[in-house]
Amino acid sequence: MKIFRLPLGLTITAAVLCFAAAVVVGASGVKESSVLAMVSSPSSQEVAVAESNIENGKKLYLKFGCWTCHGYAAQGGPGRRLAPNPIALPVFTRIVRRPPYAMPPYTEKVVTDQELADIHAYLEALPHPPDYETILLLKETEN
Amino acid sequence: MSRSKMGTVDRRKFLRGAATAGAAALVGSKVQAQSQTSPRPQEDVLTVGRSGSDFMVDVIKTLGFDYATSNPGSSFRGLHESIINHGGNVSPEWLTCCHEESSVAMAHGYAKIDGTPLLVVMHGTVGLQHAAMAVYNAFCDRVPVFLVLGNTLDATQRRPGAEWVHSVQDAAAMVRDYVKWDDMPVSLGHFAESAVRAYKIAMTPPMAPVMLVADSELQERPISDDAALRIPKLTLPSPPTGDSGAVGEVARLLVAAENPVIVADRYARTPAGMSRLIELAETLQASVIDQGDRMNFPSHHSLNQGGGAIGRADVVLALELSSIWGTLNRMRDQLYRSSRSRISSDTKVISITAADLYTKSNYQDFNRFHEVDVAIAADAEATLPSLIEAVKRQLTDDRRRVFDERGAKLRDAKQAALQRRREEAAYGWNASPISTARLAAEIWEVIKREDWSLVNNSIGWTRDLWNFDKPYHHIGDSAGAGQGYGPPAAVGAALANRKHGRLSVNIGSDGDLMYVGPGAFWTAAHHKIPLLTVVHNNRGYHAEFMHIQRMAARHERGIDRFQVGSALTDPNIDYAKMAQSMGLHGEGPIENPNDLGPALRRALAVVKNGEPALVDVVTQPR
Repeated sequence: MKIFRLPLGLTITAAVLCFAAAVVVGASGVKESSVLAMVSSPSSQEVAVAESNIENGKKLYLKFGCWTCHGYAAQGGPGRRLAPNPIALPVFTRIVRRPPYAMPPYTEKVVTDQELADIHAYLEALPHPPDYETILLLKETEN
Repeated sequence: MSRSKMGTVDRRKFLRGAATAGAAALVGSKVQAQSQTSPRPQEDVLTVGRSGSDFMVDVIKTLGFDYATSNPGSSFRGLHESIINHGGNVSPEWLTCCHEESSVAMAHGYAKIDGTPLLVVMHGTVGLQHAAMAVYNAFCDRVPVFLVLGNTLDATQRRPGAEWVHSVQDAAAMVRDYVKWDDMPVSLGHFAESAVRAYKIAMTPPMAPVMLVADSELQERPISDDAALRIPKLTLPSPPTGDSGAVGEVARLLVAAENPVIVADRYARTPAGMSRLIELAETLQASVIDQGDRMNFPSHHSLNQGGGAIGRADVVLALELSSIWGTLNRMRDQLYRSSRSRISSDTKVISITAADLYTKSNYQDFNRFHEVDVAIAADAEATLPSLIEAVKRQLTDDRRRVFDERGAKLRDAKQAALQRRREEAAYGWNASPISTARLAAEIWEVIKREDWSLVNNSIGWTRDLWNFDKPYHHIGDSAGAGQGYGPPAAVGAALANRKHGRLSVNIGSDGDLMYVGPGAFWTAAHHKIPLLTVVHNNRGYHAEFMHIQRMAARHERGIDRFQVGSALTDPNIDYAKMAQSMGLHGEGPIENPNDLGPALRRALAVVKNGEPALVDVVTQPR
């Protein structure tokens, strides 16, 4: 499933720019696409966010072995819990590229920004766990 | 007669005499040769009432071994038969093992529950080669194991073939770097003295494996003078305790500290160890970090804090730590390794450890050197009573008030930490493969009302979710990180628990099981050793997955190929069928977490009936 999801600020900016571009295009006959390219050049990460793919993210999460440290359900293990509510994509990307502690570094050469965005989208889509208080086995460990 | 004639006659006589003497010599050597090929008188003797190995068993019985673990071999057939028949197969009882690594690891696990060593008997060459890693594990763990090796030193007594390749000049040479003491007795009297000495050395802290060679000729020849043999009395030394002045200084530092932290590793040597540490910690209201090589401190005690407490410490008391450096520093495993201290430069570090009394060089199990402010070379458990007294003598009402406030804060922190862990355990609760938190919780539900003992463990969640508060609830791990330890050590510990009627639980990883696990489980079935085994089946050597991932990421290549060489899939191993083939109740693979509880209950019923059982659970990696 494709999700086209932009941060709100960027959405408004893009809408304004598109309107302005349409006025200019309409006046001068210049092609719309080249005007948009001139007035708005989203970063590779913004493009990645715009076109992130949960299914692909899941495949990559398994293929690249994120689960060996973070668990199949991203619940954690030797590595931190990643889901639900993963950290923001820019921070996520920064940490994956240059991890502060034990995690090995994954550069763009082995996993692209788009692939990281897909993985991030997959993590965002993972469901919340039940409240531990509703799980009898966990509740009883209090005794 | 002319001189020439006389000389001729004399020469003829000489030559005749020489010929006669030569013929006689030839006949004599033939006679001598014939006497060497014809049987000597004693070669007609085919039976013996009492041989050297019978006396060896007499010696062994004075040392009080409950069991002898062994994979059988000809170099010790004399001792084997004497244990069975002369000794009546009682104290020790001979346990059949399928691999020498198993027989040593069983003794390793047994000693950690019972506090006494087992006798382990093996070939001095191929048997010891098999056993070497398990001996190393026991050495690293400072656990006593009493090893006896069979060997045939006299070359003229070795039959061609196996007895030659099973013989060696110096049997212990291969493992001398990780055995505390060894000897090769040349007489039965020598054997008696060395056996008693070896037991004493093994059981004096720091404890460790010891080794004797039982020459096959010494085992099998008749005893020449039984009446002259005697067995020395065994007297164990009391463990070394700390110097009173140093102990007083330690007490002063601890009482004056604002955030004292006690770290215990290989500390609790007897059941008294935990109660002494509780008393010290509660007197001081000090944080305790239990590093888990022994059952040092109750897991849910309010003073049992996580590793993060180290960062706030102004005084650290290290009790039998295997690595002070590793406890007080963090090392980053990147291309260029770096480390940083977890404590401030003002933090005082105190070490009480018997390891300072005995360190070998070659194998690096002594870990990286770390400076300390007070070093007491003594057994920590034995030193604690005097330390507690010294602390109490120095207490004032003011300090007690400070301690009470500190204790209240630690209590709140502990409750909050336990709460957070329960919340974290809910993540991935219904996942398949099954989360290790779910696995730990399901097992706890089934065993918590039993008198249980976790004799081997590969998942961290047990420490958070289970309530560990008895000395036998946990026995640590291999210490040498030699894979293959888990199943046989669990069987050995379960054997020690058996007489107490305890439920022994083994949570072991699939990779570790594949070494000598099947044979160890057969030994458990054969000798009716009740043991509940849950296979933490993550289908691979997961530590190695992570190492290869690290290398691939570092090289910026092939990050999706990390499973090559480390995965245990294709085909998936059916541990339940393997267990059934060894005579155990076996179930699995369990992949749906809702199936866990019922499977565990069925297995528990078998174990409570005195038999081993295994449940194979497909789990998350860690």
